[in-house]
Amino acid sequence: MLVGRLLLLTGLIAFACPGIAQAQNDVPSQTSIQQEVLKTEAVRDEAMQKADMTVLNRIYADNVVIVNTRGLSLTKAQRLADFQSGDLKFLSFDQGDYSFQIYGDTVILNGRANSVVQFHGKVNRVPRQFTLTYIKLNGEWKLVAQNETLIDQPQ
Amino acid sequence: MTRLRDAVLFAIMALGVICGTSAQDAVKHESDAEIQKAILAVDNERYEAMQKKDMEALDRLHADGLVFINTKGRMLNKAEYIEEIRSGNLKFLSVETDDYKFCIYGDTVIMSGRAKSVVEYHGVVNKRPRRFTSVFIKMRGQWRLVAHQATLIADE
Repeated sequence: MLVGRLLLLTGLIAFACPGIAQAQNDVPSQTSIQQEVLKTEAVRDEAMQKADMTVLNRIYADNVVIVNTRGLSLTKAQRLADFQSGDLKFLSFDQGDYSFQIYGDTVILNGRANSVVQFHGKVNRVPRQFTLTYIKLNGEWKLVAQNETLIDQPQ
Repeated sequence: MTRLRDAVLFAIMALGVICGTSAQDAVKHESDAEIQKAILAVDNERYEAMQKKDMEALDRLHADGLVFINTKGRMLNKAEYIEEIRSGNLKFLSVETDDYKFCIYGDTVIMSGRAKSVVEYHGVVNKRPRRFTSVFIKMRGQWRLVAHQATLIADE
């Protein structure tokens, strides 16, 4: 009798907190999060090469913090303007050697870029190490921070 | 009847534990100013711990998954980074940071700024200004550094 009532109460708890069971089922695996972020990166790469402002505007968070290889801090508006004006061009695109750190809806993506980039007329072929921070906001992965550093080449 | 009452109490307690986080979330949210203050305090504590080689504090203030990229573009994990400090290969001869910018996304905070600290790394002293990005995440009530990258400022 008591066991039956306990089961009934447990059922009531589950009914009262439906989010618990749902949340457990909906938690994406680390692999699927990595795939989602890499997919967003692939879309961003393509948009950078095509200077697709609509897509770039969607992926970059409004308050994105960007530090380029010259140690300049750029806002979203400045970065998009660089693409739109052609001051920043990707002559070739090559990045990899990724590592991920996943903390819920925050993902730290590290990697190495060997892309050839033209910035304000100067061509840069030096490999770069980068940190990208993605956060899922309203169901979409947004780039909230980007920092790039030239990799010191052995002489 | 007593047993039934105990069962009801047990069920109510269970409900409280399971849904506790929702209730807690509704109780208090730190303001952005409070979060910025907390992050700056943690960062100061981090610099102090580096200067004093306080391994316990360094372990507590850095996430296990820390990714640290220095101005040479070298990527270090938490163990490598802490070992550089413990061994004396990385020394902060002075600490000076400014021009902060904070972006707060719940329990994730992006802090960027400029550092003019004088750093000795493997015997070479570096006085050049750097722009940095630090990512802090609150884990079990403690803000921890999860990612840091520094880039030399070319035009200064």
